[in-house]
Amino acid sequence: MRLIGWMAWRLHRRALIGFGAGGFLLSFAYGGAYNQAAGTTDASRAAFGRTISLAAKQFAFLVPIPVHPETLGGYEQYKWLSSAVILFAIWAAVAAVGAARGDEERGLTEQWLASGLTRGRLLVARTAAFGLALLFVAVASVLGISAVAPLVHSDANVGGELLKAVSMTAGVLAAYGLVLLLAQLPAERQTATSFGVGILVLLLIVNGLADTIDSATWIGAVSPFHWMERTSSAAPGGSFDLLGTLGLAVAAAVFVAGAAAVFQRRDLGGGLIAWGRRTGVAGRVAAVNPLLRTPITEGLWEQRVGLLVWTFSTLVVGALMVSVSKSVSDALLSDPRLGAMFARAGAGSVYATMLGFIWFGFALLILAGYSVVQASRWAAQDQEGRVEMLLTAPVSRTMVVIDRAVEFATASLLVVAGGYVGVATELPRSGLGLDAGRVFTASALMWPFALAFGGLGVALASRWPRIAVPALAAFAVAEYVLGDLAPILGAPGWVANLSIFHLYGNPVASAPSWPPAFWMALVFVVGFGAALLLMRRRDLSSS
Amino acid sequence: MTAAITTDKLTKDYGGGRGLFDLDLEVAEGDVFGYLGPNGAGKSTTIRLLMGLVHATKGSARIFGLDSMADAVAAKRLIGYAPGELPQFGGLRGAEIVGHFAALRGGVDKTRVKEICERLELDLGLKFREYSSGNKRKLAILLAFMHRPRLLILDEPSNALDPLNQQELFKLLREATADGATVFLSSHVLSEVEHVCRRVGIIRHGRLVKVARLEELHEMHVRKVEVEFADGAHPELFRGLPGVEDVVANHNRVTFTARGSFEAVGDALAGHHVVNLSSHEPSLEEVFLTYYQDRKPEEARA
Repeated sequence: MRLIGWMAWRLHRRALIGFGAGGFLLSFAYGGAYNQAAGTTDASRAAFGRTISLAAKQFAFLVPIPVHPETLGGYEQYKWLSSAVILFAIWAAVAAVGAARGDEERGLTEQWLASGLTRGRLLVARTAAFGLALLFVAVASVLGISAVAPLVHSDANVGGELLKAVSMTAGVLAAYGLVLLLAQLPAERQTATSFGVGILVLLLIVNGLADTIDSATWIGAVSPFHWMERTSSAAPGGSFDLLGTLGLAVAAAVFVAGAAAVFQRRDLGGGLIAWGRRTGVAGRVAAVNPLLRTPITEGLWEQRVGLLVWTFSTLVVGALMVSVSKSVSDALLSDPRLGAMFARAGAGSVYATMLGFIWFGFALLILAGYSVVQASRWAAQDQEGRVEMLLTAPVSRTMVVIDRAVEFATASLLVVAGGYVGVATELPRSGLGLDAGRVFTASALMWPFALAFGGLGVALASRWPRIAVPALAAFAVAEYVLGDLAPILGAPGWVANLSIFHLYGNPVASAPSWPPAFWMALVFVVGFGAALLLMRRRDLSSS
Repeated sequence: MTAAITTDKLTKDYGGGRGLFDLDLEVAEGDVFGYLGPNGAGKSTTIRLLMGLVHATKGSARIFGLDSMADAVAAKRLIGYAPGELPQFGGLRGAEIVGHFAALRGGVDKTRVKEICERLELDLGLKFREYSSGNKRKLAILLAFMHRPRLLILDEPSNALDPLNQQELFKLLREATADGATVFLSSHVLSEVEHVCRRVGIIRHGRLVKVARLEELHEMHVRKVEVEFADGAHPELFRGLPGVEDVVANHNRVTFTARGSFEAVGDALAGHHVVNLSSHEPSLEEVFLTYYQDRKPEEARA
């Protein structure tokens, strides 16, 4: 138990503090937004709830069906906790890959096993430690709702919120167990990360399809997101799915047991899937692969599998989103109130507004996530001593930063291009009747968006590699929330524009505006410049 | 002739007495310099400063007259560096790692790479994570030697190598120095330094306490000796002999420490029935305990 407590604190302390504090504060922020958007009278709140319910049904692919959205708990469950679950699942994937692969690369696993701990007990202890940290974060995230309740003239619902936290913990722990199992298969951390994040995105899409297509409801049973959604107790009058939550806990245990069984069979440092070894005379000369000749192309070559997965996934999701945009839009327009609302909101066609929301809004999240993954890669390279080794060759610190910036710009352009190809391929068949040029421009503007996050990631990883990932992830979440809440709270335009998400806007619906692109590119340039200065001034130490 | 390495009051203060302080050192071109010190003495900090990886708190370091920080890129063209531990290259194959660094350096002869690989029996076809610690060490040696650098900076290079490969490493070092290369070899193992170095610097608590030629090092070279006689102990044979200290008798055995030449001890044993005689080289830490335990660095240097 002491080991579990130590692991929970020592190995998850940054995420624990960051997610815990962030989750609590975001509950407050969404509470404020609820008060602003729903009003303070019962009548205004009831009307607000009806509108939200009506609109949310059409977006069931992306977000869960709200339960009592006219209440504070229902609204927070719909707006905040549904996003929090995805954030926690990403954290689970990163933590599971770290437990399965990162610890091994750092030699920690070897040390633990040498101290007499069995492989099975090690995985159980790591899982329990993550579960403990997760439970704390989930409880902090839901209790913020009760804490803000008196301020927005609502009733607290502590019991229901705690049950929701338990359900979230069980579901995310199941996701952790699944990734822990998958991460045993390949030998490389990057491949394991791609596997883990990929499977979670797939399960999220499966849940979305189950919520959207009546005949496919049954497939939702394989997704932990589906079972977490079945508990809606954070909303007054919501329900707690005891069997579903127990099922998630059992699934987590089964996955961890499976991971332990695979771990028992494989070699330390290797994967269950063993790729062929190359030996002999051919292995006695330096590789002549031209992509290995410069740091930039070497980096792209090394992450080629992950980059292909990101690009191809973005392409597929882009095409999928375009294909459902028209049916979703038509369903919304069939309601006169929502039709009028969209007519007021969108400067262009309703279809364009909807595509901007469904695809481009989602693509921005993908790109922000990609930036965090890249920052994680740079941080790992720094901590493992690869940057130090690179600098023992005749390579300047400036070159290291240029390498990262150009590598990121190239890789993010590929991901953006993948999304565009998916959208452009599906667009003629979709019946949306949108201007192809404007869709291209909106896609192209996603590149400076990605560059802005990449620039900040480069700066953070150049000076503070240990905190680069949580800091950039926290920044991305804060930017997203700011972009989401600023219009609801009636914040001035300049405050809203502090959010890069808001700055991007919806260029497929409105005429493209170039100043935002300029500002986003400026963030990249400033981040890159700061990275140059910070990298020059710092001391490098991998130990 | 420009010195290969020059440091002037080179200091890196990490606080709490940790770091490197006021290092004045000159390693001439063609010299083979051993840099000795116990763990945590400041050897790696010195190397990091020479490689321009950390900034000096004060003072300066020059490599062939080039400032190690301001002219880092030009300086590193002249250096071959083997770190104490290679970083994680994960799924990259040995050949890919070598190809990458060879491309960054330029002018690396493939036949040289092949020759070193064959001599060290290093297979570059394997992925880095498949390498044993000995093979990782060989890869580090290959990366340091492959471009025939003018200055080799090696951090405990024979660690994890088996005796045969240690001998091959020493041969490579002798060949490099015969070609005019300068060697700066950091170690905490006296025998490793004795194999290749001409001059030695000893560092302790972040301060250089002694710089000596190898012959002088032998003078301070202490052995622990145990002699077992057939007919009772004879401690009087050793008391007063030059370089012999701490003579203790125990039954038929006599133990003592002997510094420098062993000749006088050999003469003293002549005519006595010796059943067993053992002598072992103390670790560097023991040498330090013998010579510097109760002295401040300044006194020891004096």
